[in-house]
Amino acid sequence: MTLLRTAAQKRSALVLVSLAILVLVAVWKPYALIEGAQRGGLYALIALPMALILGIVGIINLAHGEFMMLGAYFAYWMFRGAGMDPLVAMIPAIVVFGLLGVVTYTLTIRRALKAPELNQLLLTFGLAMMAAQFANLMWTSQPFKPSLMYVYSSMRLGRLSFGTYAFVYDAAAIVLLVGLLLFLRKTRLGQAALAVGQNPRGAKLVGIDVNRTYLVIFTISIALVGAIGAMFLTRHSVFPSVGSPYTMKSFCLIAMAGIGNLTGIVWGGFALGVAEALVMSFRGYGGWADVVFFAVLVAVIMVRSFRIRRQTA
Amino acid sequence: MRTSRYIPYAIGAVVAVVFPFLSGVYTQQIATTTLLYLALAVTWDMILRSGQLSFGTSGFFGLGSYAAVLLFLRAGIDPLLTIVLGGAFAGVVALLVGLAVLRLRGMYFAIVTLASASIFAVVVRNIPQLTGGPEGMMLPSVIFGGDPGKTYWVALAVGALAVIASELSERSRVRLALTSIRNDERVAKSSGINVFWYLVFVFTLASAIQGIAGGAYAHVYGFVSPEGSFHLNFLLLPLAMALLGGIHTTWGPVIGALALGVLGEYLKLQIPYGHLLVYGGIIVIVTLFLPQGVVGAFRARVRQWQASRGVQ
Amino acid sequence: MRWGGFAGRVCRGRDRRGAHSKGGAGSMSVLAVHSVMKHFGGLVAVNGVSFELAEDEILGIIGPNGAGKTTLVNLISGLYLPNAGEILLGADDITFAPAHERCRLGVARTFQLVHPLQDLTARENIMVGALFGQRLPLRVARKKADEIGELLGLRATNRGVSNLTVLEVKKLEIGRALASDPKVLLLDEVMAGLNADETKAMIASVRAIHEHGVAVCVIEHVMSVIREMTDRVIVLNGGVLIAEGPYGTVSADPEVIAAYLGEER
Repeated sequence: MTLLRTAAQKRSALVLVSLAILVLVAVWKPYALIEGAQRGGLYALIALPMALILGIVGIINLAHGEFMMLGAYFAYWMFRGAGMDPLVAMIPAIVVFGLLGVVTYTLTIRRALKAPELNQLLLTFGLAMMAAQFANLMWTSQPFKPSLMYVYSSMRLGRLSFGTYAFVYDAAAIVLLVGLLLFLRKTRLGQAALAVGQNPRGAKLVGIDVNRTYLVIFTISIALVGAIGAMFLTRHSVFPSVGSPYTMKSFCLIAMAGIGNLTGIVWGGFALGVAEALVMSFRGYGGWADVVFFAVLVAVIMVRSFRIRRQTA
Repeated sequence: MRTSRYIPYAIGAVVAVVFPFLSGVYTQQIATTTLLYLALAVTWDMILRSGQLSFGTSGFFGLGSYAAVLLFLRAGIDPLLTIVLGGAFAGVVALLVGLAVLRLRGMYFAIVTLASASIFAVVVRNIPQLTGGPEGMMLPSVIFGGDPGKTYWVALAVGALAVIASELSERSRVRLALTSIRNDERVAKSSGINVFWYLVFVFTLASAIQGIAGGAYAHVYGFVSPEGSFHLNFLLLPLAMALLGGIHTTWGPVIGALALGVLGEYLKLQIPYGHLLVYGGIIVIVTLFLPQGVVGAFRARVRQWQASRGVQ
Repeated sequence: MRWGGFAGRVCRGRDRRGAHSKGGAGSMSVLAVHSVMKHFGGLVAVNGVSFELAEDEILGIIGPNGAGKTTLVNLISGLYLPNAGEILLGADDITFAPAHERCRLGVARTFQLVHPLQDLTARENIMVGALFGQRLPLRVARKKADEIGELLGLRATNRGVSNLTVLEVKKLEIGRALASDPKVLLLDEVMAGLNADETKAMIASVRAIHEHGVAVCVIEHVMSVIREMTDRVIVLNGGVLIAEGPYGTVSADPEVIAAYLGEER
C-alpha cells in the first residue's frame, strides 16, 4: 500500500484499525474485552520491570517470572504468618526484593556483563531454575492462595455483570508506566540510566558511574517484580512454575513494542490480553489461549527479520 | 601410528556394548536414562557451536515421544521404526521453527525455543482425540517387554548416533563453518559461508536426534503426557551436563553426562528434589567461573603444563 | 619468487551459480558499480556512486572520514543491499546476491577492524576462505592455506591466533581473502597500524597479489601508500564521488583538497 508512506500516517492507520477492532469486540464479545483488559493489565505490569533491565542493562532476565513467583510466596507467608494482606505486603516486599536484587546483581549478573550474550542467557536461566527448584523443595508444588473477600467485587453495566477487582492490575500498570517515564525523563538518575542504556561507553566518558546505574536499575526491577508478585497473589495461586509463562509473555510484549518503548508495552499487553480472552471465549478452544502469545512472538520476529533482509543480504 | 589413536575408542565401544553382561538391572536402567540425556547434551552442544542457544531440547524430545507413541498406537508401526520417525517429525518441526526464527537469532531465538516446549505441550493437551489430552497415553507394553539389556542397547544406539553426528561435524568443514559463524558472522558470510543455511541445518539435525531420544524414552517407559514428556528436566539436565563437561566439544558433554548421570542418582538419594537445585547451581557456577567446563579447564591445565616443560 | 606456481593455482575455474548474466559489460572491467545509493533511515551514506574497476589496475578509494568508503565496500561485498543502482562482477549482476555468493563468484574483502576467528588456528583461518569461497576439499584447502601462509610470510600457522602481531593479523585477513580465489580484492585500511617497514612489505605483497590476476581496491588514509600503490584513485565525500583519476591529478583537485580541509601527506 503506497498510501501509507510516513510514520505518522502509519500510526494513525494503526490507531483507527485498533479502535475499529475494539468496538467490534465490545459489541460481539463484551466479556472478552473486559477479561482481556484485566489480563492485559497484568501482563503489562509484569513486563515493564523486565523492559527496564533489557533496555538499560541490556540483558534478558530469564529469571524474571521466578522473582515474581518468589514475591508471591513471600506475600503468602506474610499472610499466613502475620495475617498481612498481600497488597499491604507489597511494601516489605519492595525492601526484601530490593535487597535480593542487590545481592543477585553483585554476586552474579555483574560478572556476566562483559561476557557474550549467550552466557548471560544461560546465567539467568540457571538462576530461574534454581529459584523454581528452591521453591519446589521448600514448599512443594502444591498451589497456595489466600482467600480474600475483596477480589470478588463486581458491578453491573446494563446487561453485563463482571468482576471489577482485576482492574487494579490495569491501574497499577498505568501508574507504573507513568512512574517509570517520569523517573527516566525527569530525575538525574533516570536520565543517566537512559544514557547508559543507549551508549554505555559514552555515558562512562561523561562521568556516569555505569556499574552503579546497572545495580540501581536491576535492584529497582527486582524490587518492583517482587511487589508485583504480592499483588499477583491476591487473584492467582502461587506454585513453583507459575512464573515462567510470564517471563515469556513479557518478552513477547517487549519484542512487539520494541526495546525502549514502555508505552507500547502497555498497549501491547492490552492487545495480547484481549486476543487471549477472545480465544478463550470460544467454547472448546479455551486451552489454545496460551498459543496466542507464541504466534505473536513468531510473527513479530518474522516481520522484523523480513525488514532486516531488505537492508542486508 | 594412526590406528593406535583409535584404540581407546574401540575399548570404550566394546565396554559400552557388553555393559549389560557386566552389571545389574538397576545399573542398566540408570545407564539407559543417562545415555538418552547424553544424546540431548551432545546435540544441544552442537547447536551451541554455531553460536546459538537453543532451549528447545525438552520440546523436541517431547515431540519425538508423542510422534513415536502415536505411530505405534494408531498405525501399528514397529517401535524401533517409530523412534526414528518420531525424530524425523521433530526435525521437520525444528526446520519450520528455524526457518521462521533463525534470521533474528540471539535472544529472540533462545526465547522462542524456550517457549516452544510449553507451546507443544499446550497443543498436545488440546487435541485429546489424537493425543489423549492432559492424561497422556500409556503403551500396552514397553519395548522389548522391558528387558533391561535390550533397552540399554537402544539407548546406547541413540547416544552413539548423537556422538557420531557430533564427531562427523567436528572432523569436517562443518566445524570450521560453525566456528566461523560463532566467532564472527560477517567474516563468515564474506568468506563464502551460507550462515543461515548452516544454522538451520545444525538446528534441524540436532533437534531431530533429540526427537529420536524422546521416542526411545517413550518406548522405554511406556508413557507420554504433556507434563511428563515436555518436562523441563529434559532441558535442565542436558545443559548442566554439557556445561559441566565442557562446551564446544563432543566429549565434554559426554563426560558431563556420565558424571552427572552417576552423581544425579547419588544426589537424588541424599536430597530428594534438591538434586535439581544442584543442576541449576551447576549452570550458574560454570557460566560464571568455569566457562570451559571441567574438561576444558583440564585441557587448559594440560596445555599449560606442556608449555612449561617446553613440549610443542 | 615462489609466486609462479601460486599464480597457476590462483587462476582456477569459478563457481557461477546464482547471479544473472548480462550481455558484455565494459570489455576489461571486472567490477562495475552504477549509480549505487544506500541510505539508513534519513542518512544517505552512498549517493549515486559509479565507477569501474579494470582487471589490470589497483584502484584507490579515498575520502575524509564518514565519506561512505566502507559502506561502498560493504555494498560491493554484499553486507548491505543498495537502495538503488546496480553492481556487476564481470558479466554477472550481483546487486542483490547474498554476501556468501559474491565471495564464491570472486569478491573478497578484508575488514577495517581486524579480529581473526579466535577459536580457529591461523591455518584454519585461511582455510575458511578456501573451503567456502572455493569449495575445495579439506586436504586441498589445508595445503592451499599452508602455501598462502608461507607466501605471505606467516609462520607456525598451526597455532592459535591470540598472540599474533598486528602485521600477522593483517596478513591472516588477506590470506583468508586470497584463499577464496578472488577476482576482486577489497582492502579496507589494511595499512592502519603498521610501521614504515611493515607498510613497505605490505605494499609489495599487495602488488604481487595483483600481478597474478587479482584486481585490487584499496581504501586508505595514508596518502603515500596511495601514491605508490595505485594506478587510479576515486574520491568520495559525503557519499558522492567528487573526483576520479591518477593520484597526481586528483590530489591537486581543489575540491578534493577542500574536502580534506587542507590535509596533505
